[in-house]
Amino acid sequence: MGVVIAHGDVSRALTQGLFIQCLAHVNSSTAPCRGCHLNSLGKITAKARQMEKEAKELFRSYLTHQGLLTSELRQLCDEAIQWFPTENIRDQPKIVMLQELYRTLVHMNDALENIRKQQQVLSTPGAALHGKLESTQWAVKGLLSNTVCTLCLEGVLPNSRRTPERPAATNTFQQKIDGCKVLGNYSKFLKKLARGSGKKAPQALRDQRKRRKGTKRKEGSSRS
Amino acid sequence: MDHFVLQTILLYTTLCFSTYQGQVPETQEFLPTFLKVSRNLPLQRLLVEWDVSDLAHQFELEMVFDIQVSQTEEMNVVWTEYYNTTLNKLNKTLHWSWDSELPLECMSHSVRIRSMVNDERFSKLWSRWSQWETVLGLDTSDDYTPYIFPEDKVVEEGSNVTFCCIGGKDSRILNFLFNYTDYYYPDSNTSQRNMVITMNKVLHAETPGIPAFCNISGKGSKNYSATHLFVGKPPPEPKDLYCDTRNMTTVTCTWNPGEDTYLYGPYSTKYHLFERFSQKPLCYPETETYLEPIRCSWAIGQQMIYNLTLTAQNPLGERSAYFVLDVAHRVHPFPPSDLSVEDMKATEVSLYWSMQPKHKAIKLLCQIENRHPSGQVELHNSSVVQSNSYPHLTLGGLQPFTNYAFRMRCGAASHFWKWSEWSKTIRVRTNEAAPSGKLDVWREVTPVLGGWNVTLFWKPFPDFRANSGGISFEITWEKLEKASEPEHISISASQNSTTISIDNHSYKISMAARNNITSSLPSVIIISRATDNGAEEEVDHTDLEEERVNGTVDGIYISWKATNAFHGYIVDWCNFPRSQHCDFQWKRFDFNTSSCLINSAAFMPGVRYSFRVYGSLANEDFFLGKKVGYTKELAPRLNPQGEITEMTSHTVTITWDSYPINESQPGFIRGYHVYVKTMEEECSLKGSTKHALSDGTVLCKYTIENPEEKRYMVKHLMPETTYALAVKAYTGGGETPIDAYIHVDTLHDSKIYLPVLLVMVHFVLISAVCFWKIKWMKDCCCPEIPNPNKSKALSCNGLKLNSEAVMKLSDCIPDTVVLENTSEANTLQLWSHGTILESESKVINPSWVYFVQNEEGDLMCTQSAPEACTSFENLAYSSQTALGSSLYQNLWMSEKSEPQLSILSYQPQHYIEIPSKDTVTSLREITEREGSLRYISQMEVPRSEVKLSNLPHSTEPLEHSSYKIQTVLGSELVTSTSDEDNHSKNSSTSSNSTVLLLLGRH
Repeated sequence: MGVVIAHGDVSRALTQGLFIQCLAHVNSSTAPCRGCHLNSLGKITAKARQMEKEAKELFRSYLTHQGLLTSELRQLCDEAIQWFPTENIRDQPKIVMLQELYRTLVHMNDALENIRKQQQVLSTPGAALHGKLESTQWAVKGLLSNTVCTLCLEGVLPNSRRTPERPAATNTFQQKIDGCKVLGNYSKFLKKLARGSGKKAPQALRDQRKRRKGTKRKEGSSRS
Repeated sequence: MDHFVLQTILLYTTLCFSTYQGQVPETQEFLPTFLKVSRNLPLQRLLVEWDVSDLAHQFELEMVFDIQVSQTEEMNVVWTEYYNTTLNKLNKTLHWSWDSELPLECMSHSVRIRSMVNDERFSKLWSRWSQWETVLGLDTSDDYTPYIFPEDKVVEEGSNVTFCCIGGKDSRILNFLFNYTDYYYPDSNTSQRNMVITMNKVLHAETPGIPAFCNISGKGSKNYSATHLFVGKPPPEPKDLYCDTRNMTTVTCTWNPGEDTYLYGPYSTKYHLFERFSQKPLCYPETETYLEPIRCSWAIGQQMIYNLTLTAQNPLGERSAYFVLDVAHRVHPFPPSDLSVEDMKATEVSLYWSMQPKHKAIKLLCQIENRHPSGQVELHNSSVVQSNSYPHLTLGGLQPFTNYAFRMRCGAASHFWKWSEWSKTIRVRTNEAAPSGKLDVWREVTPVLGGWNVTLFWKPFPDFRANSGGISFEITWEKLEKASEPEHISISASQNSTTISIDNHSYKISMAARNNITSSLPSVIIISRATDNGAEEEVDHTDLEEERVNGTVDGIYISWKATNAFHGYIVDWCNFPRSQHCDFQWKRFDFNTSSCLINSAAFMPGVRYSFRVYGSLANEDFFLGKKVGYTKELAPRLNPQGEITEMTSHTVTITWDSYPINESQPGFIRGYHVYVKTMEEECSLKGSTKHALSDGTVLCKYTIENPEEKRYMVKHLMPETTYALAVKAYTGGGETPIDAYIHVDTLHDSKIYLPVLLVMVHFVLISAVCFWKIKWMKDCCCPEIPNPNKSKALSCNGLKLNSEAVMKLSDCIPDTVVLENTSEANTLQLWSHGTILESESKVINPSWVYFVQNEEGDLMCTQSAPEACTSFENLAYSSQTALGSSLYQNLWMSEKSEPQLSILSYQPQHYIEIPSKDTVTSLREITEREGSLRYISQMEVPRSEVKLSNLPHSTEPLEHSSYKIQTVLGSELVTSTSDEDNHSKNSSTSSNSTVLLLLGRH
């Protein structure tokens, strides 16, 4: 399973530290990255499928809780967020895809942290939305960990580009809309990620499918 | 004063100088100069600065400034205020501010001022207005960015809030949406780029932050502007504030935030605790929710007394609470630890524990809680102990072999403030000891061949204690009269009854409980020999009469006659009398108790409980009586199975012999109700009462109050009628509804049809015979030679009439004899008293002989008219000749219900059926009295000249009584007969009729 990462920037530092540790292991010996599952890409896919539902529910819950269901307000959430990939990253080469995934998840973790802060004033303390946001943030951290592991196993250093500075503090309504945009884009992003390539399967997934088929054949032959 | 004069001179000098300069003194004005307007946007405040000439300052004039504030570019004055001030030589610049309800960004604000010297030395004239000084609103900018104001404003619930939406350049406001659902549209008169709207008395929303949203159309990239309005309350006063120390090292203050302010996050209530002696803030606790208490702690140090101020603050205001804390009076110790038990005994334990603080000893008072297995709780206080010592406490008065739970808590001995929390609970069991108290033993004696089976039951008396784990029961019994070897058995603790067998001697039975240590004191009961009173009751007490007792939902009340002869009383019963294991129970009462209310959770309505009462005297018990009762009687579940055992045309007898009335019934059977349903709507049966069913049906109801009586005859029924009968038993609980009936049809009344049948049968038979043998009859009965002795009828039938059957004229001593020839002197008489007789009368004498009554009342035979008297005639003929038409008429009237009879032409049958009882009775009497009398006049003869007694008459025995009935009949007698008479006399006629009917059938 993935490694639990600490909050915010600390988490980023930790993931990079973990990666360095992984590389050290890879370089120093033939042993894989410590703590990383060999089939990390499969884990990513499975995790993305699970998170897709959660993201959809979180977005719906956010719209409801924040009173954004009216048509005027709801349409404000449809705007695209710049740091989400415009295309399906599953169509990219494996390494590029992993780098894009890593970059997006780092942004998302940061955005969720921000949304949770905003909700301190926009929600009552016991609101269910707090729990869902926290749960989603833990899921993002888990997926981030798996991504780091996969990159580690590929021997690639994660893209260390820093998160762009967030625009100056706007009013709380704008923060609410920004949060809505983030969650809407996040939901769409995971939908693409979970459903796989729109054009052709990445090499890794193709390899994975081949392995699965091979296993099934073996099982079939052993039964026969 | 001098100073004032000097000033005045100086002022006039200045004014003269000014006049010299070309100005008119009375028009002297101090025009506001250097007017400057700015905004403090966080406060939404307009700041105004201006000045007047130095001269005014030098003279420190008292001045009035008229200040006008206008909004929009059209200079709509929204505020006017007179600002009074006395000028000062040092501060030349004048300041004034104005708080705007409308956000200052929303539109341009302009200010102008004029002045007036408020001094008697000057004429009070206003100066000219200064120029308008304007700060521009965002609605004038060339920016394409839309705005909304105020942004994220926090307001108190119930206040009014003014919003303005500002569109970008060349934009227009489409609408304004507040709180998700409330839409507002701009007035057509106002600028479409700017919309101002005031929301009155705003309320907090369920989700913090009420959105205010403007829809804008224009060139800008953003076509909306939106903000939140946070509606809440000022902080309430903190509640339940208290401070204490647990270890004399730190002090902690705790309070509750109070009611919700509806403001969260950065707008939530902030607290700070300030100490005024040291002038230091102690802490700034964070609040998570308004529901959780807030804590603030600090180290005590050397300071023991604190003067504290607790302030609660949020954007809408603040509240403060002040209090003085003496730490020594607020000691709340930690709970004792290491609680343990040493020196365990059967009735005593010693408890040890430790306390805090160790480093700074304080005096503590501790409390030990002792919880018994029954749940009872005892509290014991220790003496005052030092917190750094290791005290102990010995608790006595405990029960042996009993589980106890101990825990303890401590508080400051001096200036007690609060108990500590309870320590951890320790559970101990005291050591074993000998059983204490005695067993409550009772018995049930059953006779068997050669002795008794004694079933012993036992339970602990309230004061009995086993005081050990391994307990058993020891039973010993021995004969009372003569020394014998005692018998002994041991019973395990799980049992509470056993049966022993004894012979017919008296026995003493002892029972004791034994544990690992020793035995308890024995309980003794004596079973007396069979001849004794005490045992005798065991034999036949079931046959004694049971006394019924009343029960209620609270139990069954039992009473007995208390005497001084007994030391106490015992009542026993079974909780489940219908079960094989009846759950035998008993209860003891003292000698002066004569009644009790027995109750049990097992008691059920509809179950008969039997209670036996015993008097107890020196271990011996005497049966006093048996009581039976129900907590509540129910209606019988089973209905009597009624059977129709007898039935006539007017009665029906129903029986239900097999119906039980014993304890199987859910109540005491008090009697029965017999219900009869007739075809009529109303109950009309004599002796019954009406009983209406829920469906409106009315039944006849008969009540049998004796439960032993299981037979009832329903009378006064109608013949040939269908009835429905039902029998219901009833108890104190009533009876169940009728669910089934026995349908029965009463028999027909044969008396009604018997005369008709008789007439018809006779008629048919006689007619048949007559027609069949008419010639023979004619030959036999009417021979050509009128000599009766030669009649074939008399010879061929075998019927021999003796000589007395023919009246001889020589036997009659007539005073007048008329001889008359008749061709119809032969008669045949067939009927007499239900027996078919075939006889032949020979009437030789054609004349009529009259029996008449003389003046003395004696009958006399006299000669009369032929229709007046006959004493010997063939009725077959006489009916036609003598009775005449009147007989037909009367008969028809009497039998008019049977019209077919009216056509009958042969009448002797009526002679048989119709006679009145009186008549018959009198005739019999006469017959009996005068046994030899055979021929009786049918009619009264008014003129009798010959005494009957004097007449020669036959003295033969009554062998031909069949003639009597025929002869007593006369036309008058028949005429007086009615239907009622027929009914009332059926006893005398029915038997005859029956015989006739039977014969006729043959």
